[in-house]
Amino acid sequence: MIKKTVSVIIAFVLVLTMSTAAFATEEQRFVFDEAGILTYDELEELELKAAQTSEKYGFGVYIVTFENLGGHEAWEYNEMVYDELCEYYNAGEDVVILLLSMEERQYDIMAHGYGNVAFTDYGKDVMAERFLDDFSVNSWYWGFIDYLDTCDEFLELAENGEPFDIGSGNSGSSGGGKFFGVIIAVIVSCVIALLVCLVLKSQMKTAVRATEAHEYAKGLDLTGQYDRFSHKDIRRIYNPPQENNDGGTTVNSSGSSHKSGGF
Amino acid sequence: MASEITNHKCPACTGPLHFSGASGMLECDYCGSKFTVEEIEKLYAEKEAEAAENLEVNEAKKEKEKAEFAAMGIEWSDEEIKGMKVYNCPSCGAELICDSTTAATSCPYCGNPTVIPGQFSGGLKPDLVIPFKLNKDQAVAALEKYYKGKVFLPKAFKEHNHIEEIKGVYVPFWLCDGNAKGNALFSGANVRSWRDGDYDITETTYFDVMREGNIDFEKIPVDASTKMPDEHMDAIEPFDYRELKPFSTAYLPGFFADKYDVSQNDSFERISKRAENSVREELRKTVVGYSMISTKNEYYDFENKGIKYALMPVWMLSTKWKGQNFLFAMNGQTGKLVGDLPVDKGKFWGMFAAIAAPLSIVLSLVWLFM
Repeated sequence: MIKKTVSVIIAFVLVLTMSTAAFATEEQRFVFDEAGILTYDELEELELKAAQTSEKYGFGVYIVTFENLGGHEAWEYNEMVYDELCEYYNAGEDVVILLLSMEERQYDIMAHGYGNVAFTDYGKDVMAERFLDDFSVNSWYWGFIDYLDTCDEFLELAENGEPFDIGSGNSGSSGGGKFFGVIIAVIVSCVIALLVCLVLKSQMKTAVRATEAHEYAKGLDLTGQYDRFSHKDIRRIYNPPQENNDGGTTVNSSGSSHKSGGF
Repeated sequence: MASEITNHKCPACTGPLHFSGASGMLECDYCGSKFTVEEIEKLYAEKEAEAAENLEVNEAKKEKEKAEFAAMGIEWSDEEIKGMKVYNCPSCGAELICDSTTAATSCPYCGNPTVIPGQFSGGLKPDLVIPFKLNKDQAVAALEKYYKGKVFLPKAFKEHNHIEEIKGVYVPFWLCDGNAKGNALFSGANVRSWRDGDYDITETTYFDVMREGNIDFEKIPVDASTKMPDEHMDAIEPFDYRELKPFSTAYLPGFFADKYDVSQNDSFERISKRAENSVREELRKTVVGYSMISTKNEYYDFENKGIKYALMPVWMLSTKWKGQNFLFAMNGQTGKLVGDLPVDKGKFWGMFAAIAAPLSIVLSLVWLFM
């Protein structure tokens, strides 16, 4: 039933746009605005940008909007969209799809195939951060631009052999982590500089009172000592294991990875 | 009035003698003759005894004169004469107005080194003295060397600062022998951590640790002159006690000297505090094998086993810059020089920026490309 519904939608888009024979080549489409939230010009510009990115990397970058999810989870719906894209639009194994449902105000990013390499869990989190500020104020076009720019950035990094991920060296280039690191670096530098300066300044004041008399001591005569056990204190603090924070991509049984949420 | 002062004069030409640290002898400024301390002591023993006696006699005479002047309506106020003494130079007859503690000085008119033996007679006689080894030129050179490597020293201070006064002073010190004993109770703790399921376990084992002991101290020094800043006198330590000599006024010509004006009792607190701190540190060092140590209670006591009165050689140098006085002290035996220098705030913050800015850039780059 679900598959049928989605098939009808995609088939409808297909009828509106082009013939089946044209999908495999230059007339393939990447943006499907079923919710009708984009103007014609915006749609054309996003289509062009998505097509350019897809061609550049040999990778399918898709945008799909719906009025509602028909009571389904966003990630489930997105997987069905992927199946239909494969069946009717000749989409390859390697895709990333951004799905928006307007009624539920839900989104889902789905990656498949090589997409699981280029779009890690952390990468999808960062990508969502970038477009959610636009979607939250109904700025759809600019939100999709952020999405496509981020796809281009992540695909290029993956192509260079270093996908965007935690600890990859590029993971904080635009995030708060890098900024925080730089702030820490500046603070540490200032503390080191101040310590060096204070040590040098201390050389300017050498007339200080003596507080001890080691120079004149003949040595300690230790006449008594003991070390006795007093008591033992044991503290137990509940600390369950943290979620894996080592990076990478969590892939489900159908070979896809997702990032869903509201906007 | 018979003089209370002696000028040490050359037996060969009657020129003024001064003690030379380099040769360890008294040398004549004019004919260059040299005499050992023992030779001069023999020669001047009688004169010094006489001068010391004269000091007492003259004190009585001065009191009588003062009363006579007061009867005539001519009187110095107590404030005006407080801490002052007047002597007559035996060489030129000029009046020398000195502090009441001055024991050796030089006549401002004829320049002859003068010693006031009465200040060091009887119970006031020092037990020991360390003679000067370093001379004025070496003190000046040491100060110039001291300026080197001080990155925050204002350039103008180095260039325009001139030594206002430099004098070699035998500073009175108390040298105290004693024993400090202490008893301290510490709390020692060792921490062990491990994980048990979803729990972090921290086990802290506490121990009561007691240490008791004592230390013998030999000749803890403390300056006995209110004129000398304690910080400077403490900081030029230590002196090499192997060169301590029985006191003789023959070491004084050519230098300034003061008798003590801080009593043994008044100095005792500083001495005992230093000794007790040393015992505290030494006992604490014996507490090992714990990751955390804190002191629960402690008791220390210093027993005085004898105090010696000694004169120590110190070069005092004073400079003036921007209306502010800067005082330096150099150990006249070892050459250790101490004193406070002005800090150029511009240089300080310049250095701070010069270190912080490139370091920030380097660390940031390391962070970004790590």
